[in-house]
Amino acid sequence: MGLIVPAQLSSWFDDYSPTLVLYARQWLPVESAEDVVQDTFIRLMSQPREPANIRAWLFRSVRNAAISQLRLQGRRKKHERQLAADRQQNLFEHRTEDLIDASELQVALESLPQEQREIVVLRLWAGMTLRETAEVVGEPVSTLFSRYRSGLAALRRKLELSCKTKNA
Amino acid sequence: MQNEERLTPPECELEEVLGNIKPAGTSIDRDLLMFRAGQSSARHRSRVWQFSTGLLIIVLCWSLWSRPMPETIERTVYVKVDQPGQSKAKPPAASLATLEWRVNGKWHELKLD
Repeated sequence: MGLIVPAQLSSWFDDYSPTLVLYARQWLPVESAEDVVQDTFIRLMSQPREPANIRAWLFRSVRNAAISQLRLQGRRKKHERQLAADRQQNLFEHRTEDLIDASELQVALESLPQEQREIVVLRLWAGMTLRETAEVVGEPVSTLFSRYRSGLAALRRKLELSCKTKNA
Repeated sequence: MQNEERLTPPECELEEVLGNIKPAGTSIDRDLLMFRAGQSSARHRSRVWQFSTGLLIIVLCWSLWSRPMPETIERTVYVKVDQPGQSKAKPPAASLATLEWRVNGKWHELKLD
């Protein structure tokens, strides 16, 4: 693992930045979430060596920074108002070929408890294994797996989606 | 994925359908990010140079301070001076004065013309 070169940073930015912003938006409004993601990439470039697992490093850094910023803000009511206004902005791309409507998914996802939503985002859109997720969140794999299943079940209920119906 | 076998087939299908939906793009200015990342990286490297230069200065100062002092050699020089009236004889024309000194128990003589 050597120094990070700009081409690598550019590639990681393309691969991970939308999912990182989606992840950070669990705690922060969109503008703050983007600031946190940007700062994380800048901090990555100042690392003396490339982290062993770049994806886990990025998501863990964004998580820590987002939670710290949330604590620093202190003005909880103002923050909640910002988040409520922020819900008007799309979390997902609207594409005709998708089987699920992006707006419905957004509503369903936002209705999940935070601890379930975090695991669902990491697993589904960041493509992480449960072990990597455990590395980011700092909790046992078994706990995360049961949370993930509960999150999926809740999403299914919200979306009124049955896999069998979709396949039929 | 890990523990994939523990998910039921409907869960796997739901996972696949949801995973295909793409997160919305960001409005992060890519060029600005790359510029700031480059600045950050350069700042980090310049700190390495500053640190190594400072370290070299400290080592140099320490070596100057702790170097051995030059050795001092003590010599006793005896100058032979004629007492008035003791010797009327003229000194040889070749030598006007004579210096004698002893180093390590051995006498040395220097004639000054």
